[in-house]
Amino acid sequence: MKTLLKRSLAVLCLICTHFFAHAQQVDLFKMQDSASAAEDKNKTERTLNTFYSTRLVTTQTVEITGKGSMDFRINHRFAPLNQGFYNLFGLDFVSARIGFDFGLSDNLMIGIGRTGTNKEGDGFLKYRILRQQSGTKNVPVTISLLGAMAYRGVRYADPTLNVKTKDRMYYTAQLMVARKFNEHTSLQISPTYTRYNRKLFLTGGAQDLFSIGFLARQKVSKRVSINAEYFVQTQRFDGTYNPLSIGVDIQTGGHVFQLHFTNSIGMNEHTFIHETFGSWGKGDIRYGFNISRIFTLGGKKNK
Amino acid sequence: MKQISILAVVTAFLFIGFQADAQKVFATRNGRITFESPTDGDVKAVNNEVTSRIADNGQLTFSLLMKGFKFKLAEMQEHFNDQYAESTKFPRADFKGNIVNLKEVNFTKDGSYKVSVKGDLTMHGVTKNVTVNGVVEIKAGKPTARGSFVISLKDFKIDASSVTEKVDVEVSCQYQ
Repeated sequence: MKTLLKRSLAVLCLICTHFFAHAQQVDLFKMQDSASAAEDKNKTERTLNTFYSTRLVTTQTVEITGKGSMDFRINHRFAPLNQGFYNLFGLDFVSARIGFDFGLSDNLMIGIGRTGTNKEGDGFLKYRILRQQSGTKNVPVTISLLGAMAYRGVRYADPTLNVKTKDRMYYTAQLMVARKFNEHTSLQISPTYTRYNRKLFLTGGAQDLFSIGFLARQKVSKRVSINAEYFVQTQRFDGTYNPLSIGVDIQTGGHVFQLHFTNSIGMNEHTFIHETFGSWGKGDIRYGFNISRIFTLGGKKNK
Repeated sequence: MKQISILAVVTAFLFIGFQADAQKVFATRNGRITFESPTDGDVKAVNNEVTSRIADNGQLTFSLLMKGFKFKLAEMQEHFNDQYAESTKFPRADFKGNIVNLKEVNFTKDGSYKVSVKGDLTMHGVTKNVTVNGVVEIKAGKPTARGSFVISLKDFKIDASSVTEKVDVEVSCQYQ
């Protein structure tokens, strides 16, 4: 009797599962929805495009030029607007930096450039240490490191100055910490160290200089953003001001146009941070623009 | 003895029942979807991590992460995600459809079957009904699906008119 009961129970169970299986037709649509939801819960999302470009106005951003890409950049700074109509509000004079940046890997880039003012040649290396991401792994900020050097090639007429090669060298180390708060707003703080091997025609300040840069980007549409950057210096050369630049980025396909107003003429770290002789208060504001064009290196493979 | 025979009959019945009703589902996580602009050959990307399922009741699903599309140009990939697909806001594209001419497909018999699949494609927050013509091939009991169709980006509210207005999409999935 006992075994009979057991068997009946087993059969009952089997029948139940049978009907259950019948009732529960597999629905791929529901299966996909639940699988996608589960997957989305477990993924880590990397933050893209904290800034449009590797420079905000003149300052380096945490961004790295894409691997295998070359970025051809031309920066222009005109003379101050307050020179009036005779100099067409500064447009008669222009200083330019022509540069080439190369993306070596996902997180490493190098760049070289030449600036007309003071005939400076420069080179830099930028490495992204940490990337902002959210999801299962949360990283709140992107961090990059910059090492830059410049050589001032201008001829000094006075032979008694006895300017040696090492006196023409300038070095900059910069830490960049940036956070993209949402699709529109990104901020960056850049503690910076700059070394002047020799102060030529500069008084005050120091040979070892510290400063902190503040960068902000506010997107106003998908392709246009308003940018501002400002540096605070711990010590300043006599007659210099803290640099402040306000600009607009316009993004079109492979180009970025950056238009801005700034009180500094320099385009290398040591010049624009520490050798800004113009003052916004006195109207020494310059119009400037950067053009960035990205090229791909390495031919057209895998068609 | 009698009980055992009843049990045997019931069990046999159950098995027959399962045989007749069990739905066969085939899946893959490495499906491949590529798209290319018909006007600019550089605008080309491939996603090799498409999740797809096909069932012999005619249901067919695809799901992919927009960030899974790999371009040759890193910059182009960033622009695609940032400005066009808006992948952070709309991370996933999704398709749920049915094989219209299911009667012409025999999942248990090797062969190549032309199919027409109709369903809803969701991308960039927009859902559109699309029809895709393709081929389902059965080989050693496992199906492979291939198909191609054209997406007009305007239909999905993706403003990429400065780059391309349409993309040719190709789908290729080998199911297990």
